Amino acid sequence: MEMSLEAHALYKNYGEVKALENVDLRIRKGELFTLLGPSGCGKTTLLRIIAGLETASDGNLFLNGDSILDIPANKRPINTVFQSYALFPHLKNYDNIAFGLRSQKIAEDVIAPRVTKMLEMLELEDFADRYPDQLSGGQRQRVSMARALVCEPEILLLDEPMSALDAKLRVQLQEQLRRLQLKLNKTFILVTHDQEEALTVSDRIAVMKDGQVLQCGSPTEIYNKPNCRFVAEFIGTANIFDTVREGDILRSELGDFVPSEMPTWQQGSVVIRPEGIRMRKEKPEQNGIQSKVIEKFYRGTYLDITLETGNLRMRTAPHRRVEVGDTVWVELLQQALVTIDD
Amino acid sequence: MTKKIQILYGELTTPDKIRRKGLFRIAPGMLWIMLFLTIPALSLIIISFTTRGAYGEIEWVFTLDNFKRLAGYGLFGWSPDYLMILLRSVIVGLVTTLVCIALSYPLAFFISTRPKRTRPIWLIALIIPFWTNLVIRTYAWQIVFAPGLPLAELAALLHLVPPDTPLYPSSFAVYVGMISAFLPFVTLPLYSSVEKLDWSLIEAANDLYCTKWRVFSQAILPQTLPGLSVGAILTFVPAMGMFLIPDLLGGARYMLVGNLIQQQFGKSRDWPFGAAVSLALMTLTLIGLVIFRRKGEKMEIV
Repeated sequence: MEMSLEAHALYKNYGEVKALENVDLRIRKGELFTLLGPSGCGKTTLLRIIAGLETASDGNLFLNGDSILDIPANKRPINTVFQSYALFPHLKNYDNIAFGLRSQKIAEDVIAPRVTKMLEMLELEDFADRYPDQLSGGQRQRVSMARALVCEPEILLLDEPMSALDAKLRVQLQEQLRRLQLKLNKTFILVTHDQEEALTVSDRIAVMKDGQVLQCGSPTEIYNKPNCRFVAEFIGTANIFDTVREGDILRSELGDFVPSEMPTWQQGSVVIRPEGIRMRKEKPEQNGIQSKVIEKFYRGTYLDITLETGNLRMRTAPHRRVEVGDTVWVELLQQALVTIDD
Repeated sequence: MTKKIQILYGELTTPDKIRRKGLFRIAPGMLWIMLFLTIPALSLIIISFTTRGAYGEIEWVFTLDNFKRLAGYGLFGWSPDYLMILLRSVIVGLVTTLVCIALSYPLAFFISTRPKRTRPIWLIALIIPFWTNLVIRTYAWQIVFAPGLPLAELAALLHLVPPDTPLYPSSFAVYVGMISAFLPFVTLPLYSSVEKLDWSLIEAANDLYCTKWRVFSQAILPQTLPGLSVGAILTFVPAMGMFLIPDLLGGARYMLVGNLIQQQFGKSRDWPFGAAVSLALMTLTLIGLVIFRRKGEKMEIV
């Protein structure tokens, strides 16, 4: 697999504060890579170092195999969609989009077709002659994207591009973003704190916390096989409980379980997603629990249930007849049990 | 005939009543401007067409002589002395404004990037000279430029002036005095613009392959233009008419239009000619402001 961007042991310190600590990343050509984490985890700092707006304290950064740390931002073939969009208010949208090309002193007759193509691709033809402050948030975001993409960068960086939009529009634009990225087959690096957004659009995700990358993998890997408590809790809903290993059995307050893969530790935790717990008519062969239903939430396409035992949360089909107070048998599916060491 | 009835602040009223009420409310302001601006300006225009009497009194003989004299037509044929004074004033005003702008940008950025705690100290340092009268400040420059003191010594060492001479009167001293007097008028409004600066635009410009100059012209200048225009007007207009600083630091030979006007209304007791020169100064200032506005409109900012 050809690499687009590689970070080797990147560090960034602000005085005593470590914003980035030993970050290693290998981002492939043409993938949508997401840096996911809570605010203050260093994801934006990392993005800004890649853009050249910030300098790294230590480590190295390679674009297509060449170190780019010494190349200033205005010479890097990398463009950014800023969180606030940062459109130039005194320029019309057309001129905003043409801005990067004009900076490079490209001839106007070369610029015009490229800008027009971008306007078409992002459905902005009607807004070319308007100013940015005459547009809605979603339209502004598209202008900002067009302005970056028209420069044909090696990598497009997106700094929380959806954070200023309302929930419904966000979902719509996430799908659009993914379609656009697949169509262009370009490397996109997205920064977000929204785990759903990350799962929806990404090829791979790096989950960050306190300046470190905790786990890096595909959305399914991150969701189904979290490697630590933080990742499990940050993404989706997770049931986590403490266990002690005794031979081939994990003993816990909830009962005894047999995972598909035995951990190497003696004491640790088990993670299971709500979908990994199934309701059964009778006692299952293994990993079964009998418990009382204490909460029920109807969500249209599914039903969320909380069990008395360990406050386990599970998810089931919406038509299932189950009431608060019922005692039920559930099975914690073996392949859904993930063991973590913290 | 039906009267149009409107509602204003919950009150039923007619347009006529509103007009009368509005007129009544703006009357004090109008009166003030009439008394202290319009009438003096009009009398200045009238006086500029009158003739000076033998003892400096105004003779109500209307003539264009004052303007002819200003344009250089005197008893001994044409000489551009007065026009040169006007031109010099425009140049001094422009140079002072431009140098103040050039110095203010780094200064405003420097102050606004200091930590919040120390920022007031820098601002106060900028304002403190204003707690002293301009006359005293200008005399202070005379002392700074006096012979035997470091600045004059240094200039002598570099063979810029003969040894043991003061650095004033000279155009250099006038510029130093003017710039030091007007710098805060540009820096302070500019600072207020820089403080509100959206830095992401500068980053975006950098990200989009801008040279340093293009970052300034596209990301910084448009955002700071409101403060900049206030500062430029506050400097250019009074700098054009300044007479104190050129008088004290420029000497008798470095005459600006302000000195000329002062002389006519003072020593020379020639009010009609003084009024004509004043009109010329006002016209030049207005032209400057109009050009400035046009430029601003063309850039589609403000």
